[in-house]
Amino acid sequence: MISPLLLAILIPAFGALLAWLLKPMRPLRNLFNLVIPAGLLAVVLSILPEALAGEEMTFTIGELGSGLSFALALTPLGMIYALVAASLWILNTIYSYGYMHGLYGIDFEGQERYWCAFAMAILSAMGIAFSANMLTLFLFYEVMTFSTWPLVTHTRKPEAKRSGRIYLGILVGSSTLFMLTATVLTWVWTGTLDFKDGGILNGSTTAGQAAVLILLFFFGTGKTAIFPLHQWLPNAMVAPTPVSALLHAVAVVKAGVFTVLKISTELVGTEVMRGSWGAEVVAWFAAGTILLTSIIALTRPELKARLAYSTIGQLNYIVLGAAVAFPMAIEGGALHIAMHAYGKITLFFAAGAIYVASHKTRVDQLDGIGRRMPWTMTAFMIGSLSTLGLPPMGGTWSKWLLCVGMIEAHQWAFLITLLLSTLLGLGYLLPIPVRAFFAKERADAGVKGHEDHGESPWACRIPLILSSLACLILFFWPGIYAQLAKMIEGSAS
Amino acid sequence: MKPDPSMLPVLIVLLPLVGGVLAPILGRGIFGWLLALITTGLTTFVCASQLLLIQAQNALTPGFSVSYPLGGWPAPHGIELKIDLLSALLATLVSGMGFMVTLFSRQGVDDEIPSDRRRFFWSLWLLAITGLLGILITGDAFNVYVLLEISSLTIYGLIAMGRQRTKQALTAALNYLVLGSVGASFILIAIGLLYAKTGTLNMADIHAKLLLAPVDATVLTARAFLLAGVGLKMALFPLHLWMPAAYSTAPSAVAALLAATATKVGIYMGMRFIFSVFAVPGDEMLSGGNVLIIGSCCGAAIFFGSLGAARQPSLSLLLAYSSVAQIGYIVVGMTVGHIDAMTGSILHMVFHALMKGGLFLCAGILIYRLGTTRLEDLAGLGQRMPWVSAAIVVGGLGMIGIPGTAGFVSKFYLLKGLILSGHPVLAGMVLLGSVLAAIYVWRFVEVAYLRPASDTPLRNGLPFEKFLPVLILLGASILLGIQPGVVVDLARDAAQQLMGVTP
Repeated sequence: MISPLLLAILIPAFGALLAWLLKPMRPLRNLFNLVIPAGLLAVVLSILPEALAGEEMTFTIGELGSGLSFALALTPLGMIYALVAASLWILNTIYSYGYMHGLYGIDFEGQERYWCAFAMAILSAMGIAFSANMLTLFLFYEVMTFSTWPLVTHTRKPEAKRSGRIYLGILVGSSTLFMLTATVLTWVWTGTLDFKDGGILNGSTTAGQAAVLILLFFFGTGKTAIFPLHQWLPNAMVAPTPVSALLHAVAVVKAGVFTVLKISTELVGTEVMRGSWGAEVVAWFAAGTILLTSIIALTRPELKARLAYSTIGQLNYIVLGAAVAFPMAIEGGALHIAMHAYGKITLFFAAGAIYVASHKTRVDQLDGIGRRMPWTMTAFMIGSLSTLGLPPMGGTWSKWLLCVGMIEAHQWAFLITLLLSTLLGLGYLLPIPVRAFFAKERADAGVKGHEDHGESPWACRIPLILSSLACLILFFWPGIYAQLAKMIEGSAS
Repeated sequence: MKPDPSMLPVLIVLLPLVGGVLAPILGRGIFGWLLALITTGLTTFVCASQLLLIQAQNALTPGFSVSYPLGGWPAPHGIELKIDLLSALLATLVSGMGFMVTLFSRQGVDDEIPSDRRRFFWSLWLLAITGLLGILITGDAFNVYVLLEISSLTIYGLIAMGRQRTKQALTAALNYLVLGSVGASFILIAIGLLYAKTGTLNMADIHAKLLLAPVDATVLTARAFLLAGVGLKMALFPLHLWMPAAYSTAPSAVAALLAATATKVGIYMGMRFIFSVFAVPGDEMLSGGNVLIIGSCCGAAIFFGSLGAARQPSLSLLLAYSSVAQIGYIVVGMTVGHIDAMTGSILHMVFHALMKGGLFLCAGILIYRLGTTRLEDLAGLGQRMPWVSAAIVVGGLGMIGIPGTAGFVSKFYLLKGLILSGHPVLAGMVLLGSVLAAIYVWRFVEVAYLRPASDTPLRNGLPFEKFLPVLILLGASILLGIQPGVVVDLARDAAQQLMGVTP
């Protein structure tokens, strides 16, 4: 019997392999492209009861001597991330067909590379979610960086190459120079790298050492897009939209915030975090990033760029939660991984659907488009509300918890930051669907006139309808995610 | 006569020596190649068996080493073969790499070396391996010099057989000849001074005598000469200038063998002399000024080697400059004198040999099929040769040292050792080196995957026997990146034995 944790890694690996091997047999490959994500979701769901019951489950991949190992373990936080990534992989695969076939034809160039890199990215997401120690997390973190590079540079145009360099430069640079240093230092100072509830620093490091580690870890996790490491995310928008949707709203960026939450709760430990000036510095940087990117988002006319800056802001909500490290803030941060994912992927899906149908990329071209694309723009509306954390959408709960966490910590400045950024979000996100439905179409606006396009292909529409439904459902039944987040809070307090 | 297992050590040099003498008789055809293949294969087997034996014995009695008096003359008067864990580990590595590259190079040799010169190729090849293996297992200082000359002279010959008989290629070979000879003479002077001081040539004996006498100018001079000579042999910055030109103009098989083994043997000489001969209490080798000097050489090697690699026009040169940087990693680990750093250093010798050997073999395949390794001719390689291209990427990731490749494991131990021994700046250089490595590796990746395919015609298909060694070496780099436990334990034991630390 293979451990389900290992299986969660092997299934995408198998998918990556098949993407290459079945290159000449497209129908069969297309079938497997759907079967494999479904299989992964089934595996993840099969261990959900164990995760909810708080049972232990571990698997060792390899030994590195001196007590170091690559190993997997099941935790509530990991379960949230794995469930989000696995459930959205299927939707995103369907969406990919609609988008890539709609734009580049049924036999688009580099498709084996595309599917293979996608599966590798999900593989690394699973590895990160189930990592039992910092070394394993670092392993899959780097695998993710390198495996998503072919997706960012998919078009192979000069601007894609440039963006690819920025992408690798920031992510590899920060993780090698800071995260790896922090990992080695943790090993040297504490003698272990295993994640443990309550952290491993407590008692074995001085306050100064802990602060140094916190700074190195948080600024070594470039995937959270914390200022000044945020530039890669807007640049990565050069990738095809399904890539932006799954990777830069879900898998890659959530890998970053997952990492900092994990470090906050199970490596540094919330108690140490709360008492450290290092965490204070990080929190201020995160708050600054939230405000800064919200303002930048207001000024960006490109829809995808606007969504990217909005994502940076939302990610730093979670970083802020992880840095403040009060139980409610942690719980809110963990829940926000899920809630923001469903909302933001809906927005990206919609942005891509609009592009497929009308080739429009700028916000000011979208006036009145809601009458032509009612499904898409309704979903966009729902996604916006959820992202902003307004009822009746799932995003409400995580934002609420984060705000409560700030109050609990008596961090009034951060509370105001969260509220202010919601206001700014109302300014940059909500006008888009509102104008799409109520403003008059502009005759001069588009690449093509509005009159010659209707809705996007069904393969694009179904995923975005489903993901927007998820936003709605999660408001009334936050169920599993809330329960898992609660478990993290329990161990953090 | 009953076979006596204690005779095995001498076979390590005897097998390739006999093979080397027989090779010209068997001629230039397939028989010469077969002979080389069988010889290196058998030698690898013997080395591996010695390694296992010593490891098993070492677990019972720490510090165990195999000693074999040549001709029955006991040490210190006779020549002694002395194999400890480090020697056995590296001997297995050298002979194993020799086997892999031999397997690789049948058509390559036919392809790249004119038939009138091919006759002596396998002879020189086996004699070079004899010399390298001999250095690893001998316990006699003068013997080291003799074997060093054997390997060097044969390697000069091998390099000069290169396909490009241009002015540059000949200059490169001559450069290497001159600098290599200077290095060897320095080592000879060092050995001479030691002999004058102690009156013996057996390394263990020299060490014992040095322990009794105070460290004086003779010993310090000997050490200075030795470090300079060894530095030339291992191509440590700033003594590396011969290497890129020599590697990139040599026949591809020779380049692979050299990159994987010859510099490693140079480093081994350094380790052996510093820790087994010169290391005496009160000697300042492992602290203060010396660490500063060698450490800055290593830091500069990492920095300038990586930057140099990022600016080269061809893959062969890129790989050669990358070796300059990687040697910096290895030497920095042995310099600080910390057990973890030494473990990392030994691990990196092994892992770098696997990865860089594999990469140079890939370059060999490119030469075989495209006739060039110039980066601009490699445009679109990802489509034209997906397997080879993917292999180069895997090797390149190992050069960067991303987790999941062997390069990460050695670097991780190296970093721990550097931090624990109080050298954060050197640790920073190692980290910076990884980022710089990403830059030069990504130069290749961008050319191979983002540019439209070039129309340079392919001359040959991809023979399985050429790709098999690449697959094994780079596959091992991945496997050892995930499950390196066994090798780590070996390296740690070897480091402990070398530094005289009891666990």
